[in-house]
Amino acid sequence: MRIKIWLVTMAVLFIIGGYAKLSLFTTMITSSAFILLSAWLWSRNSLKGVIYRRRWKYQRGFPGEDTSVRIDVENRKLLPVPWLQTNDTWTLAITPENEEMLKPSHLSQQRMLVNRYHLRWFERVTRSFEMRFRKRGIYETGPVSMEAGDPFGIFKHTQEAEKRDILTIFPELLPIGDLHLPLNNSFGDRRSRRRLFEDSNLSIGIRDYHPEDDLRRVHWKATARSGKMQVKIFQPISSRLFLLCLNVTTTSQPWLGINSELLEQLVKISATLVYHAYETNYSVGLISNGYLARADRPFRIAPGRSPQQLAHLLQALAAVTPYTSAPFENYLYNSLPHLPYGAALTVVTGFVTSQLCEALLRLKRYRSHTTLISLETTPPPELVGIRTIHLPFELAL
Amino acid sequence: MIKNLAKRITDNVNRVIIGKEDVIHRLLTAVLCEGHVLIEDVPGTGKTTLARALAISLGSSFQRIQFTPDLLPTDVTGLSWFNQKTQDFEFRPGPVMSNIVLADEINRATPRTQSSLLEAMQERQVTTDGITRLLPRPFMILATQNPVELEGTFPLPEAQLDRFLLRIIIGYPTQEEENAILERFRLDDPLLDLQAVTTAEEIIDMQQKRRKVHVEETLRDYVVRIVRATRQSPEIELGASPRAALALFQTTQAWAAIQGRDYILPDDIKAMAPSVLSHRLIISAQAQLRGRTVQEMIEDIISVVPVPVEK
Repeated sequence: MRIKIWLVTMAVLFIIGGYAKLSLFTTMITSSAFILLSAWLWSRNSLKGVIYRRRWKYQRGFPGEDTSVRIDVENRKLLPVPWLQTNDTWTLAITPENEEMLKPSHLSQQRMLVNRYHLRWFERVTRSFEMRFRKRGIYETGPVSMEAGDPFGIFKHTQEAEKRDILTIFPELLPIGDLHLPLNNSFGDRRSRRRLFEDSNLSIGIRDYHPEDDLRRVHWKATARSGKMQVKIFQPISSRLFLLCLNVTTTSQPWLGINSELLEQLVKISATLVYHAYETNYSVGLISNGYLARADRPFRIAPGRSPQQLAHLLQALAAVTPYTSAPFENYLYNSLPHLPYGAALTVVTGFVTSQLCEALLRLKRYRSHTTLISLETTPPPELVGIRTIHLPFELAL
Repeated sequence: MIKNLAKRITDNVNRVIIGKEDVIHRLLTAVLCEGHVLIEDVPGTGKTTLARALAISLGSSFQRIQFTPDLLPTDVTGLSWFNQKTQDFEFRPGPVMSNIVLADEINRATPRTQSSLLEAMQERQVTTDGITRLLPRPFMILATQNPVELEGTFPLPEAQLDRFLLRIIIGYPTQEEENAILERFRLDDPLLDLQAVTTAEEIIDMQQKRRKVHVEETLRDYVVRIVRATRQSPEIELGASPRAALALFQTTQAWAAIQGRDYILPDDIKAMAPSVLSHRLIISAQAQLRGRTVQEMIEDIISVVPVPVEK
């Protein structure tokens, strides 16, 4: 619209100059119109073929850890970009050492990473920034808004690129000693000499035949070689299952609000436990009555030991919020059919209610080992067959 | 000559497989290097069709083995059975005795059955009942793995993974390609009309010609530096082996030949490095936890190792 007004004005002035036979004036008007039109076309095409790319070294990490982000801006056309400003929406949870590098934003908990460039034809500029993970959660960087224009600075063109990256900051891990778990039996399982189940696909050796052995186990080739009946030994299936149940309720009554420090402590303890269990070769699962960020229901992660399992568990703990739909005890009852048989269960809670105690005693009938970790200031009651650990949480004043 | 052959084969396979020229060129690279390929992709992306089309185009025999947990080694290599009529043992060759073998979902079979392929892949022979039988030439194993379903699978051991020359991901087609697939397969199956465009003898001849592609000493050193850099990275628990260095060297020659050159460029090494190295590296648990992938690490290594320049 602005260019049309200018061109119409130029046209009117040109006509006036032509009518008044002012050749110098008409020449100047023509030159100005030409410059204006060129500037407008340049500005309009300045952002075509301009690519903005963010490349993180680590997109996941623990608070206090460093990462770096490499920003590539590329001009994939013949037309140079005399000036380019990129405004990248940035979260406060992942910031450089010098936070003043980020410019203020109208959005809360957000800042802007502003960069200015000058790009020739087919040029790429790369800039790296060191960042630090600050606070647990799942965060987004982007979108990025790009502004560019003509060399004269008359026109400006803006474009938004929906380039968003998801970054995960895991909960901080605590020293395992602080959780007062017994060293020789941290999660309640012991090694057993009895092998209940075997994997018939995995033969790990042979031994002499015993009368009680099934004839299908006989290793005929070894028997023919040795002249004595030999049977196959199969690898026992052993599963060490650990299930952590996190209660995110932080106050005894909903109208008392949310104690965010207590929630953080609950999440840190849970993260420490799942990390330690995974590192000691448990198949680890997690359930919680808390909603994940941007989700409308509580979550449940089945026990597993895949290479991605630990990342899934810690990501869930990074995203857990204090919002719940039902009391924790009800959630435990409803989850009972889904809980794997024989799993060592550990409940981490900020409050111990009588309903919770009842629920745990019921669960004990189906589980091999149950542990209750309470962060309440008063010690939890003694429950038969359930190990209780008291880690009182006091708000620092 | 290799370029012409590659073009003939690519055009022929493209009559069945829409697009994916890069994938076909990488398979041809493996053919020229007498190597084996691991294709890691989700179901329905055309792995079997691609393998069949390639086998027909090469004028080669093709067999498909569906790996399951109860598959025995003799189901792969073949076994001797007693013929009552002749009163003698007869050898019944297994599906591995073909020019191109598609080992579908190789990670579903037990390690014992997987290892029956080891001798075939490395020595190009199989030994049953003490008798060694040579496999036909050209010989290539195309093994597939589903990267999504890990329940009930037996991950390939590192020793076997290292024997695959390349790892390829086919990927989903673009929207235009997917539309073209529906149109192409609307009336009939183009695989049925596909004909051979070369012979086994020509392939063997091209494999010899591939070895003559010139590799400058500085570029040979560049290959070694890239491979050694994978062993020095703190984020990589197990780096690439000398076998990987040889694989990168040979595949770069083949890649250059397919592009029509009798010499290699640094760009050829950069193009082949991800396919050659990605399945041979084991990244550390801490790096994996922080979201690093093997592809990113290889890209970082390639960007850090200085490229030799002409003086």
